[in-house]
Amino acid sequence: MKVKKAYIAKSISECVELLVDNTKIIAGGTDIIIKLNEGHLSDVSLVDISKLEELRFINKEDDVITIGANTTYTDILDRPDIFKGNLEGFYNAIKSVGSPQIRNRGTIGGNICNGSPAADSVPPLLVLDAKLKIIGKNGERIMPLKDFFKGKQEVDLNNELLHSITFNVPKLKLNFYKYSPRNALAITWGSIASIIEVESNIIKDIKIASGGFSAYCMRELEMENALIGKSTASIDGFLDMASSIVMKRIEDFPKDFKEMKEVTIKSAFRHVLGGHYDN
Amino acid sequence: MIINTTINGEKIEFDVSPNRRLIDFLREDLHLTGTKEGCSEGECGTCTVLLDGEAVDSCLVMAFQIDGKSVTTIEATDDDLSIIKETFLEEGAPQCGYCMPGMVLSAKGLLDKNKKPNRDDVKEAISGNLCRCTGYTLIEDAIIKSSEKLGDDNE
Amino acid sequence: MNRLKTVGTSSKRVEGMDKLNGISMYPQDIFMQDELIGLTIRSEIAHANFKANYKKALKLDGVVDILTSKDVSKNEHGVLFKDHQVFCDGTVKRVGDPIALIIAENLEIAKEASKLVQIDYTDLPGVFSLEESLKNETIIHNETNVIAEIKIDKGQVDFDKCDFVVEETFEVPSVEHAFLQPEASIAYLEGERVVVVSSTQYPHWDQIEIAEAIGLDTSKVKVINATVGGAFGGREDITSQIHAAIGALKIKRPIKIIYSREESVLAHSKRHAMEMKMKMGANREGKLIALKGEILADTGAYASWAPNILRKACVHASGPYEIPNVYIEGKSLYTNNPFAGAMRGFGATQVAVAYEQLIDMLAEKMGISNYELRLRNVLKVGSKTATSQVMYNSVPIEKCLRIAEEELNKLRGNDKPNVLTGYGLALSIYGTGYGNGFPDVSNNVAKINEDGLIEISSGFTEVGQGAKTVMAQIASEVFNTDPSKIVINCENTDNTPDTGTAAASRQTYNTGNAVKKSCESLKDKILDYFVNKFELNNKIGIEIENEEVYLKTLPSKRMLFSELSNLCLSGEGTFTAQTTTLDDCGQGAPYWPYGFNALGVKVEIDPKSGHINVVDGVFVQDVGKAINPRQIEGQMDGGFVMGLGYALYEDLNIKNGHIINKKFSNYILPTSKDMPTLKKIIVEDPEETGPYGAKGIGESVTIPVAPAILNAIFDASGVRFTKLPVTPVEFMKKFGG
Repeated sequence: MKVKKAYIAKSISECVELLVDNTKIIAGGTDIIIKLNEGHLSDVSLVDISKLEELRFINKEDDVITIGANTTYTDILDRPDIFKGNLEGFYNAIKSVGSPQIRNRGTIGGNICNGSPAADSVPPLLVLDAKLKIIGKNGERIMPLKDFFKGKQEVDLNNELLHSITFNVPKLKLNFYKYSPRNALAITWGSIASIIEVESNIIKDIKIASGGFSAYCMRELEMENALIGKSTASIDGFLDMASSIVMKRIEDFPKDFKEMKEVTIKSAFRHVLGGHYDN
Repeated sequence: MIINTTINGEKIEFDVSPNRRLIDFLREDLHLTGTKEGCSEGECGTCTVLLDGEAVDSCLVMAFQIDGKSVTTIEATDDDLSIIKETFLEEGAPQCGYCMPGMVLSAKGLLDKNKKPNRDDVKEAISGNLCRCTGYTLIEDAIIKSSEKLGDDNE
Repeated sequence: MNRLKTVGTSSKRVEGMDKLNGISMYPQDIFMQDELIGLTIRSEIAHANFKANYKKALKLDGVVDILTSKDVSKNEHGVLFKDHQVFCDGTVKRVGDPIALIIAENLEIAKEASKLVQIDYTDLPGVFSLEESLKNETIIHNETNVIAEIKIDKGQVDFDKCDFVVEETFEVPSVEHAFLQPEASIAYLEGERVVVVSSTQYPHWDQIEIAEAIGLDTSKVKVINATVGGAFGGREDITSQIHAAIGALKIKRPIKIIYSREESVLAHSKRHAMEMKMKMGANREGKLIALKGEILADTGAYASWAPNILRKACVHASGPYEIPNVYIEGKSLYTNNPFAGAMRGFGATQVAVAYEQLIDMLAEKMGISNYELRLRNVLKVGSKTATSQVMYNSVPIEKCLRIAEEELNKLRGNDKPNVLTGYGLALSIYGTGYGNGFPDVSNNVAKINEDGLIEISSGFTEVGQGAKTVMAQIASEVFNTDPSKIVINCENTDNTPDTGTAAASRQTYNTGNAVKKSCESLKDKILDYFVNKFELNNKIGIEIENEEVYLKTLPSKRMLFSELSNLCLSGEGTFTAQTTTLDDCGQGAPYWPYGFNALGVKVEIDPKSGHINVVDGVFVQDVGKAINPRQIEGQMDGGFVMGLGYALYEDLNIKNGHIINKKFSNYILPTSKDMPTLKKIIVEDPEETGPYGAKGIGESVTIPVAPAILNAIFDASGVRFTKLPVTPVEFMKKFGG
């Protein structure tokens, strides 16, 4: 692999100084090392942030949770006290990532900033309306996660560092389902996260976010609008509607890919709309 | 890049190139060839080592990232590790042997944290270690037996 | 009859601790001073003529040489037909065909150089389907794409005489061995000799192929088998060995080649994809009357073991059942797909997917249980197979079936809500050995070495299946000592006799017999010497144990083995399997012995997503005699997990000759969380010609798995799958949703 230089950042401010064009941040390394090894990235310099302990934290104050970007998946899984209850879907999403080895190294910041269309932590964070704190040479800024993704593997970071992610504990259950070929080392063919508010069999509100069904993880506003105000009985017809929204995005893709996405999205929704669907 | 690290209990200082993965550093620079390469993308676990006691895929760690950290490979001299290996042998776990170093270290990583794992815990702990020969069961039996033996030793 | 002391115990694997300590050396673990790294340039097109230009690459600093067909003395190799080229000479026939070997100071430089190699391809029409191949419009080799044809013709197949008939076409795909240790070789010179260290299933055959290709006498080539990290048939064809040897001979420095996972998948053989059109009929009394089958196999761009695999498939197409009228026609065809060769089960695995489902389908049509239909038709001692071979001994398939059914029934009930639960049964049969009258010979020499220990020398291979331990146990049984005391030479062609391949599940039976014979011959010589030395009357009442010989009634008459070391006492043993060649109607005794098993599984299917989990199972294996029960259990689990992958997960996704899924991130293998904890039961019905009654089971253990799972899927969902793998997406497509 071709790495020009590697810098080990000793502080956040040092890191920000080091982030110039043609530098890439390495934290856990579980995504970027593969890219380097396979030649998808070369002649870059690396800024290693894995020693920045100030970026590795989980804070809960009342209902507000803030997770530092360097927090590993295992760090999150070690806090079921914080991430169970209505956040169990988020916990399960983190648990579904890779393997114990990957989870011991991979960070939530890396998962978000890689901009992978199938990042597992992102759909739950999207329905949680998570906000990002980003630090750059011009100081700090806060932005909603849903605006972070610009295109396929393209995120709104301009030689900047993701500091932390903040969201509120939801008042209702976050449901998450990931469709993958096997029970571990599970690549994501597609995932859906959702928080649904039902009153007297009418969907008062619903938030839906998808992974693996578009160029990037996103809130599915068209799907949400199709369901708000409808009765839960309409969920049956919804599966076809959700599927056709996705099919429009992948019109030119090969037949077996389209078949796979169609099965995946319908299956994910059957699981996520859970009890409401079974009734 | 100068790194200061502890490898199997021994403190060393080394000058590594920024290109080097931990697995290359271990196998080629330190001639610790017990750590194996099977897929180069963190999907098989044959390269598993313990980094500050946690199981990681050494093909997905850069050598410069172990500065200030400790690495345990299969070559480590450790009483618990010996008990685990002896139990693996008694239970008939090894076949072709290629996944064994990774499996043993994932087992140690688990047993250091969880003294009484059930089979599901064990399956989870080795879920990142592929094996094509054994079908996993005798390996799981060996890890559960190891936990019993290590538990006895601690009493 | 003396009680066995070591045979039948779960002795510790003799090389196990080395593997656990990480000190077993696979070729990639060997570092030699002055070594150069070799990187293969492989074809990216399935069928084309090509011209290559290496000028730029050769100029790169650190590139020492680039080997091509010009550097090969005899540019061919192959296990049966020499249809492979060592380096392709102007034409490539599959994606991954080797074109050149870059030799450089290190891998980084070699990779840079590979980007500078210019290859201009002129496409040739590609043949990617059996249908296309049969047309013979584009010929891959010789004058026809049909590399092998076989017919099994017994009795008179007439479905009008059957009261119940089922028919179906089954398609099974090409799959990958996925042994965890990628191929690697290191070759160097020892004086005028070339030494090649690699991981192979047959060191003596590799020696011959290397010598022929590089133009040296066989005696000028030494092959050392390093530790083998799994094989399953995938290390029978040459991959890196000849390339490394040519380099070492030409450049006179050690040449090391290590494949990446992707290159490994491209380089070696695959399981034959097959299309099987099968029709089975039974009478009202539940007796199978007739079977007709048409089997087409895709051997890809090279033949490898095509005729033998086709033969095994056709011979086993009738399963472990007595069917009086059988007509099977088989053809194996060249295409420009990745080449197929030996893989665990060798044709018998594929046909089981057909016959075990046909049995279930037939039983359903007849309104009887599939257990009952099997029970009425399984082979027994005295039964004749579809080739009219008499199963004269060790045929405990009925017992296996009864046990499996009884145990499977214990798993019934307690079905979880919100999942579809199903139970499935499958039996299998596997004829071991090279077969068909081909000389299937093992040789072993046993002697007392300088340390006073028994040393056995035989060119067999430990691929992970436990061969070293089994041979050690056999030898230690004869000499009444601990298996750890037996010294084993098996890895060096210089000091071992050719003993055939570690394949066809032949080593325990065939090589085990040779080891036993040679040890008994040596034991006789030791006793003769003892009788002579102490002027005894005869050999009775003399004990051999723990490297000592003594007279039981007067133990002061005693000798240590070490006192015999310099006498050059040795025992030789040769064993040849007893099989006959099939005639034009496919009649004969093509394999011996046969192994049987029965497998019952419980599956749970998520009807919302199509995910299928095998949650429980019972595996009943016929072994003749369990030399090492724990090792057999490990093989049963291992065979199961391979069959599980075949049934539900593994898909190379070959498109126009290209393997899309050639990494572990997209070629899905089962993990620990996908594998159930099986109940494993070993059935012992001694094979009278086997060492202590044992027969080989290494392949048998994978054969009933996919069929049992498919039968369980039908039981759970009412959907019959005739194609593999049954992924969640494939399930939902047929089940609905």
